[in-house]
Amino acid sequence: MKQTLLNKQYLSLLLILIVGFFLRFYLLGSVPPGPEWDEASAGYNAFSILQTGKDEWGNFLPTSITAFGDHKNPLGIYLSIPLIKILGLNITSIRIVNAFSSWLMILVIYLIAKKIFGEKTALISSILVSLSPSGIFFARLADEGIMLSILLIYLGLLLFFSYLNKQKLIFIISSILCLVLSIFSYSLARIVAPPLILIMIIYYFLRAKKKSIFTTLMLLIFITVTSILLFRQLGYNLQRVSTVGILGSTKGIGLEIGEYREHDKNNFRSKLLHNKLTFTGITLLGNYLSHFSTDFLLNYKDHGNVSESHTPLLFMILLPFYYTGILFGFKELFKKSPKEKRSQIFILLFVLLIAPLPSTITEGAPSSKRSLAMHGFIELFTAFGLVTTFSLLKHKLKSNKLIVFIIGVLFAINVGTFLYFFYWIYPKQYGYMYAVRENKICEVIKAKYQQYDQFIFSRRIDGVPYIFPLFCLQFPPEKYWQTRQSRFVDGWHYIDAFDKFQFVDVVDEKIFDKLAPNNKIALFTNEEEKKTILPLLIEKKLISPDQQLIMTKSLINNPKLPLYLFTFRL
Amino acid sequence: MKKNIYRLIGALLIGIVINFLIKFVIFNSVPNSVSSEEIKNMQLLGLKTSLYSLSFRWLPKLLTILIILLSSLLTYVKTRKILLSIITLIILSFSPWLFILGQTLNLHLFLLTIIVLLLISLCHKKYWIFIISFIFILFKQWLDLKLPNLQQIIDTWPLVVRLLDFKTLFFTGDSASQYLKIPKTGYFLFFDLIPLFVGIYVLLKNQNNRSLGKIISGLFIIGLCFLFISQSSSLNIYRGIIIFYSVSLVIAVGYEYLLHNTSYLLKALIALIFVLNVFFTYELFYYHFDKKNSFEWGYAETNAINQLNQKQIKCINITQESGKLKQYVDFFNNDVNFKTNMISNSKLDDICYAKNNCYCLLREQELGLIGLQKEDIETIFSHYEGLPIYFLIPKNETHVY
Repeated sequence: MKQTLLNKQYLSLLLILIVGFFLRFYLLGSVPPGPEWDEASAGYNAFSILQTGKDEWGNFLPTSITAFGDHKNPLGIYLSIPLIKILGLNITSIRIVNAFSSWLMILVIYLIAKKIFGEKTALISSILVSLSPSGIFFARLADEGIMLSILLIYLGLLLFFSYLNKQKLIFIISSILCLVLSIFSYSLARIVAPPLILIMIIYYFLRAKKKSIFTTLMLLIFITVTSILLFRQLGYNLQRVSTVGILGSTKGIGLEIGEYREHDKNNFRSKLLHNKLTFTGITLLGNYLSHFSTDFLLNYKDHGNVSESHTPLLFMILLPFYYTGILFGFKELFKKSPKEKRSQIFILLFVLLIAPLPSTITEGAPSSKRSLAMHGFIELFTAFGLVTTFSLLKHKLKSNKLIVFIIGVLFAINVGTFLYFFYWIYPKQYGYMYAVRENKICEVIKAKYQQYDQFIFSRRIDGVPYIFPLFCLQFPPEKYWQTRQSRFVDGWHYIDAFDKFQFVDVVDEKIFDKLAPNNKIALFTNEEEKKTILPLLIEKKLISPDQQLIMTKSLINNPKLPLYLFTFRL
Repeated sequence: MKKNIYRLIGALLIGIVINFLIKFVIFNSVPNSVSSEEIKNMQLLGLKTSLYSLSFRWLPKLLTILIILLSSLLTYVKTRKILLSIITLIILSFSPWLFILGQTLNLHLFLLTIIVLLLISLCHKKYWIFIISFIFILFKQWLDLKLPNLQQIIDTWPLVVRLLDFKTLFFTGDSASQYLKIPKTGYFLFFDLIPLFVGIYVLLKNQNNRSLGKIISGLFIIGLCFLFISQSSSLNIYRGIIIFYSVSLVIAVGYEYLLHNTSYLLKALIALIFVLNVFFTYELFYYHFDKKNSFEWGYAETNAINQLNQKQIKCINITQESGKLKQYVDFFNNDVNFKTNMISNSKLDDICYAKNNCYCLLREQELGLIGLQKEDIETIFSHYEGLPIYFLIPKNETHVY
């Protein structure tokens, strides 16, 4: 009997894993379309390291990938190297790391939930994670190692819980190792992982039953080395925080304080009430709480930005159970259950509560991407809420099965709507955000690289245009370094030219100075640039009226993103 | 029992005095001007007022005080808890959403007053919820209520989740209702967030509050229905008025629980935080409200009319761009000593420099059409925060007023 039940459970888990795998890997290269800028950059840097051992700026095995100047986290990029070696540099190979991490997360969440809340909650959590809209969305983007980072956090927790059960030192060491690695996978872990590491270390030194000098020493050495590596990255982090953070005199809060003080002619009352402490405090509190509110959890966002999920974090029908799950979670802390279980629930709640912090301190909060460490915990507590609520109502409600059925149907509708939106509507409606023009240019460049002597396009089409030719041509890094002309402005690298490619701020009459005589030119423009350059090309008789008709047809069939190609010989 | 009633009467009397003091003395002149919406509402209600008086606002202020007193009474009737009744009185007196609605003439306050009145009289009846829903039919015309179709329901849903967002409720308010909100404040005080959670917990857990809980949940559902049947053009603070009212009652329950079940030190701390929060919020209202969204209000228009009267100008030409000024001139016609002509901006040169005593009052974007820049103009009428809006075009020197 027990064996049958066990088989059923494993079978269910297997089914959930298969569904999760399918949702993460089906059409991985085309939903969402791409690659977008960061994906192309991560992919090319991985390719460059594979070819030369150095990133695109010639740094040997870097612990931080300089890229555009945004200093990407290295782990996801390093892990995609073998995949690029096997599958070649393409959109699928660079997306596999996150997709696979997200898929593994289903299993890890299952194991955590089983350990703490039991089999039923574990199965429901794994279903919710496998169908999670934002989980599926971010699993399909090669945005550094965002899902990898979250997987490592969960794995760290799972290993720590195993340590609490079995008191084997290997568990705590591997747990801390996972958390440290998560820090090198995505920036959000730099805020979420250190407090967890601290808790684990404190626990180890205060409560561990088995302690050996060797392990303690190993732990200390490990922490020191990690701290040094982290300290090296601190400068980049601070730079990043100053760019996206809420603090600073030119940021919203700074300007707001200035405005209110000006109203009051900067008097004492104004200084007392309108200062960084009060305004920042209010903003931070508001930002933080918004991560637990309906608007953030349920709404399909309509940002014109790839970095934001266009999918809700939670299905509408599950929302009440998420809140009750948190409530019951807190209640468990005060129950007379085993201390070990309470410690585990405390840690889960602690991570859920600190997970929104990376997003809280930035402008534009709440951000589903920066608070993605909540993903997993949301599903876990929702499942716990669902199971606990129904077990409480079991004796009170006569039509329990009917309610379960209704919730099930509504959940199925929620899931179906989301899948339809994500796989059919989203790529068409929001495809324009995934560097459509740049990828079209890539197609042309790939097909006609030999036919032209110079390819020119501007930063009006794309802020970082150089990365796309590098990515799609799998351009040899050494040749790139030799021919590259670059500038470094305000912490960002600007590439003005390499090989046959020229990148200008805007296409206007000045580009003729950059063109060599007798060269065959391929010039890409947007709508505005076309209006400037077309009369000049006609005036200089570089294109004929017949050619004009062909060239003024956009290469992309999207009126929002026209792209024109002018080909001529000087 | 008798003692409690005396206490309640005492509390209500003190509540009346405090509310009168707050609304009619301290914050009587904020907002300092009449909004376009208030003009429309006055026309609808058949009210007439002077350019120099804000006395028409006695109506919303009195309605607000009535709502507060009735709500306090309601909580007492339903729970027999004098502390809860007093707290309801305090919470509603300082709740930003109700306070701001009480400071401006709006029709939704009438609806809320009738709902609260009905609640008091029908709260023991099971069918109160239907009677209140029936009220919407009476207000259909006034508040432009319509039964929504499926598409409208789908479109309104994001607003519901946005309105019930903690950040919106307690920290930012709604960006679409900027001109009817205390700057940097939500619909409720920041600190009300904790009592809200406690209130929900108490209402779910505690059997004693069951009947009040039923009323609050009923009101919440009615509030949701109201939100769906009101038009998207209406401000969110109006659309959510019944929801906010029910949330305020939950907050009051939360405060009552906190004050009833904590030590003296914590009680003092809660009171202190509440007072500080009120001080912070109402300082923002008193000193910054008029400046923050002054372009939404009529300070520039009323000031322009006043100044033009003082200058003894007899005639003013304005364009379509100054439609808002025209609305004010028409409404306050008893206080306007000049005539206004609507002109098209195609012949501004001819009209503005014609040798007559009719002056042109133009917007900044129109100055270029007659070859002027804003620096050339001496008489400028600005919003309260100083942003210029109307420019009086000077005549040739030979011309006299």
